[in-house]
Amino acid sequence: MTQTSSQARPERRSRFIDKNLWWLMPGPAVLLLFVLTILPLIFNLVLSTQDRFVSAAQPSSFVGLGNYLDILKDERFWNSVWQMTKFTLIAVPAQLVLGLLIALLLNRQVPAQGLVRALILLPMISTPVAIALIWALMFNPQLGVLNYFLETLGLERSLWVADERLAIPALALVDIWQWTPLVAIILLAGLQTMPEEPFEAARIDGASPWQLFWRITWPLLQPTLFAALTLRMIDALKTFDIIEVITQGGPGIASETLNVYAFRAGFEFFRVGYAASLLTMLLLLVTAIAVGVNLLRRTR
Amino acid sequence: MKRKLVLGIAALMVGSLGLAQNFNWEQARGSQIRVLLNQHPWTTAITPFLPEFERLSGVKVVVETFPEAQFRNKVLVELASGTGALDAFMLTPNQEGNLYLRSGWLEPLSSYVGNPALTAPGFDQADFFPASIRAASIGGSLVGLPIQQETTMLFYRKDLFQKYNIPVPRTFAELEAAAKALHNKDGVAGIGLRGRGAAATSQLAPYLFGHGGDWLSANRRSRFFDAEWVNALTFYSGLLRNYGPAGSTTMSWPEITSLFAQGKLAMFTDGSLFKSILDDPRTSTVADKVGYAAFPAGPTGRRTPVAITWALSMSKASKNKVATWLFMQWATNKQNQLRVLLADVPASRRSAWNSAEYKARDKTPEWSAINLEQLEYANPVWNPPVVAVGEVRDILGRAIVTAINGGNVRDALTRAATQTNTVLDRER
Repeated sequence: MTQTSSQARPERRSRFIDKNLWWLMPGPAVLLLFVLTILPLIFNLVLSTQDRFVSAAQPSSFVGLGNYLDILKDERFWNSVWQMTKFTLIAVPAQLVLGLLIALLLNRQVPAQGLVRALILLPMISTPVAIALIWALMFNPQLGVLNYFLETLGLERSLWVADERLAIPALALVDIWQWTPLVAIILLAGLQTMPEEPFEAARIDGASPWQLFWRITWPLLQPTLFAALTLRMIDALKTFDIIEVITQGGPGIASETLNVYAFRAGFEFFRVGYAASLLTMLLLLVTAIAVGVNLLRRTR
Repeated sequence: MKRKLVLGIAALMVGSLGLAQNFNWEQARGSQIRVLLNQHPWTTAITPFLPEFERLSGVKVVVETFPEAQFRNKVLVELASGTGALDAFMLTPNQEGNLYLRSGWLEPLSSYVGNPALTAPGFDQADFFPASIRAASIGGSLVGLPIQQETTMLFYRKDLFQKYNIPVPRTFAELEAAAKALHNKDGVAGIGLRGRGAAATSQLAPYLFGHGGDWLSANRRSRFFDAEWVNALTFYSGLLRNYGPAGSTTMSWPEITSLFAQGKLAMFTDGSLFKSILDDPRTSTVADKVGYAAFPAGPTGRRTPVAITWALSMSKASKNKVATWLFMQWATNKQNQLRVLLADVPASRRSAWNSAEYKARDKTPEWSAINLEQLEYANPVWNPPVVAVGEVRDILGRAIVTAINGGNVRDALTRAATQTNTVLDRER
């Protein structure tokens, strides 16, 4: 009796594992994800239904969708959405074009290839806040090196981020400088995993390099391009570090993106409920745009 | 009966004498306190002396220091969590004091100062500048011990004023005339003032008071509609637009002081604390050319600098209040205030400024004299007296940027007033 049961136990155990493997293996990861991502998201949604201050200094109350209705009437919200869009529309296309050019260049036999590739990654692996601080110094209208270059070239000095109209383009320039290498590396990987055969066949048929690019490389690169586009777009929409360090959203609110506005509302105005609603809006917008881009890809 | 009374009085006298002579610094021996400090010259100056307190009291002090923005967030988060893991922290009472006090996070200190069992006899609260004590008191309740006391001051380039034979401004009108006369001379801008939104509000304040304005009305409504406000902001933004450095809407004190230190500004008004950056040859190219003057008088005829105070406060949730109080009174005692003053931190005790030791080592007696004189009348309310200080500063900051960029001052202020009243409605 005791013998059989001791024999059956390991068997039963292994059968239990076999049957439940589908949730046992990803279990820890799912649990971690739940605690770190899903719970905060739910908590954020709960907060966003409250008119809540950081402390008991002001009473909090349940307002349902009140915060969201206020947001739709808040011109500062619309301004921040517009600045965020402008930033993304300048930075991401430039990164894709420049990244593609660099990838095409690196895909050929370049002397000291390893060194060149390592060097090109430098902006990407530096700390964003350190980069932002250095760019802030370079943008300085009186003491910055950028105006020194402009003057040396005989051009007029610029206000850079101190000019309301130039603030977003200047910040996008920093983003382009920092993230073009990532796009280049992704596209380079796409280029290097392309099959040789179509190119060979085309060359035998006498296709020009231009035709090779447009008829073969470009279509084959589409999936990689969309991957790079999606990644960079999500990141650009929620950029925070370089903007907060260089302009703090200024002058005035001329470079205040939605993420920066939500930070203000939460950590400086202490309006926790309103900040939570702003962040929910950001999540919705970014998700909608990312899904939209991917739908666009499928229909092509 | 009579004898008993006499004996009682005698016992009391002996008792209090004993207390006076042998204050028990070791009453919290063995405990440990955690202190959050801002990366500030005061912190740098006091830190080397902390082991002295630990030896005196047997209390272990764990200090954590952060740059200002992170420091403020960290204190807020720790206090809001209510865990009691934080004992003491630096506070600008006029910035967060209202919020923290109304949130129930600050330990009122009056009962500690008045208790001879807890406060050493040489502490002498009356030695602090009245402006410092006023600044550290909210609604009549002392919520911090002042550690640093600066006032708004005019910094100017002695060589340029001499070269172009311009008198040192004593009024707003003379200030504007000097800025105009020196603008674009020898590669300098006429005047520098903070223009970066919220950060500019504290430096607009003395110009506001000089025009006779104030933050709120008696029934707690915004006064930004007032003509005094329009005049003050028109004057302030006009100075920057006409005679200021390019890009002034992105400038706060780090940018202004470095421009001046690089020889690109003829003058600026800001906190007296910044002297240490300007007259140090390691950080300034104009170290031997800096002049100091009192904040000029506005149309009201009065000089209206503001007094900016940093204090050391106690968390209400602290579990080591006696040890924390011992630390706070030690850190702000006469000897330590003198020590920080000798390290160029404007101290908040008169005794430090009047000491023979400081006077002997004072390299800029004119700066000291101005600071001392101004502290007698400086206004400690350099921020709007509301709970949501950050939000009202931001609202006003946008009006300042609009004005500097040439927008309509009255419209910008009207908007700011409406928005501020919405914030005030929430505080009712």
